[in-house]
Amino acid sequence: MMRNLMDKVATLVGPSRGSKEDAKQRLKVVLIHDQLALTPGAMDQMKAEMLEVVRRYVVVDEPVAFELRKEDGQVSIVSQLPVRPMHARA
Amino acid sequence: MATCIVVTSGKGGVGKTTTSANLSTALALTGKKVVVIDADIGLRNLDVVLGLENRIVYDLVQVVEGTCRLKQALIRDKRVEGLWLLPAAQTRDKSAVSPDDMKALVEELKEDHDYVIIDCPAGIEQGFKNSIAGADRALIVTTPEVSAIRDADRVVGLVESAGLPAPHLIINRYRPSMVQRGDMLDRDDILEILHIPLIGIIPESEEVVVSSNRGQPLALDDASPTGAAYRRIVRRIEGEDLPIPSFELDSGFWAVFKRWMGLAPAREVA
Ligand SMILES: Nc1ncnc2c1ncn2[C@@H]1O[C@H](COP(=O)(O)OP(=O)(O)O)[C@@H](O)[C@H]1O
Ligand SMILES: [Mg+2]
Repeated sequence: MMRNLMDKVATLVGPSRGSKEDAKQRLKVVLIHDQLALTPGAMDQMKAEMLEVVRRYVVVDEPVAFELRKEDGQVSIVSQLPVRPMHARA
Repeated sequence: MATCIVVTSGKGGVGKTTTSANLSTALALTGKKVVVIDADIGLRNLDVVLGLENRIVYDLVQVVEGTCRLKQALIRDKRVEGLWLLPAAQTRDKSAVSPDDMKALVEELKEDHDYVIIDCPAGIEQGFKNSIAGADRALIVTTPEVSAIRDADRVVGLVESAGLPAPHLIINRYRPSMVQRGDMLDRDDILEILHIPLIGIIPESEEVVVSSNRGQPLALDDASPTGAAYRRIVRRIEGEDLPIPSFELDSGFWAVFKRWMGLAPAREVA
């Protein structure tokens, strides 16, 4: 009861993040994977292979972004790779 | 020109049968001639929800196999003019009926009814394929939960690839108090994900359980807010541009305070 009340006071004081935000995020991801018939595992593998190719030419720094996005029904892979040249130029 | 509407969801237990029973009843109350088909062969349920279980003689499979005539299998609801049930078989399985059988059956029923409503079984296999075969449009029922919405999304795709127009959505078991504290997806969240037009929201309600205990659809009860929600969906099905009430909470200070303390349920403002 006391705990409950404290939680409630907390919701009055600060903006709290209800579980629905988790639901929404998880749903979005799962639906995109469903639509592409691409499992998260296959997605990880694709990311690793793509990085391997890019790394033949440039150095890739962290953090690497690689994610699925859906806008107006179109799913895209959006990736951002911070890169540097392989060999420092003279 | 009669219309056949399939009520479907993918996931089981989200409220297809309850919705089919109430929408059929509410349509008949507006003066339409309605047949509601229980397409859940092997797991017959619509008969008990409608309170017509004691009057079954023949079933859908017997009609398809020619054991009886279609008219003989239709059970007339005595409480409301213009409502008939075509029950499912209880001891057979889905493979006893084909999509072509369903198409022919629906065509025949459309000749002397205004609406044919099909209560689809859960899943996306044979029973689903049978159910959408003769349908002109689909209503998708979901609850505000991840698994139900995921399945709904899948079914929207299947319905559209079967050549039906974009289905309409019914959100069932909506709990305004949970939505208000951020623990349930609200209608905008769900619509953002599913991208199909909303045709109604049915709140979570103890009345639903009581009505299924009695075999007395809520749509028949003038005093029931849930019954009223079903009756409003029917007006929208009929083409009326009726706003969908938000299930706002009573906003008086004490109501808000009591709800905040968890002492009072949310109330629908129609
Ligand atoms: N709005 C609601 N409020 C409370 N209980 C509900 C509601 N809608 C459905 N139920 C209950 O949920 C259960 C499953 O409903 P049902 O219509 O049989 O689902 P389905 O046909 O999709 O399997 C039933 O016990 C029913 O009484
Ligand atoms: Mg059912």
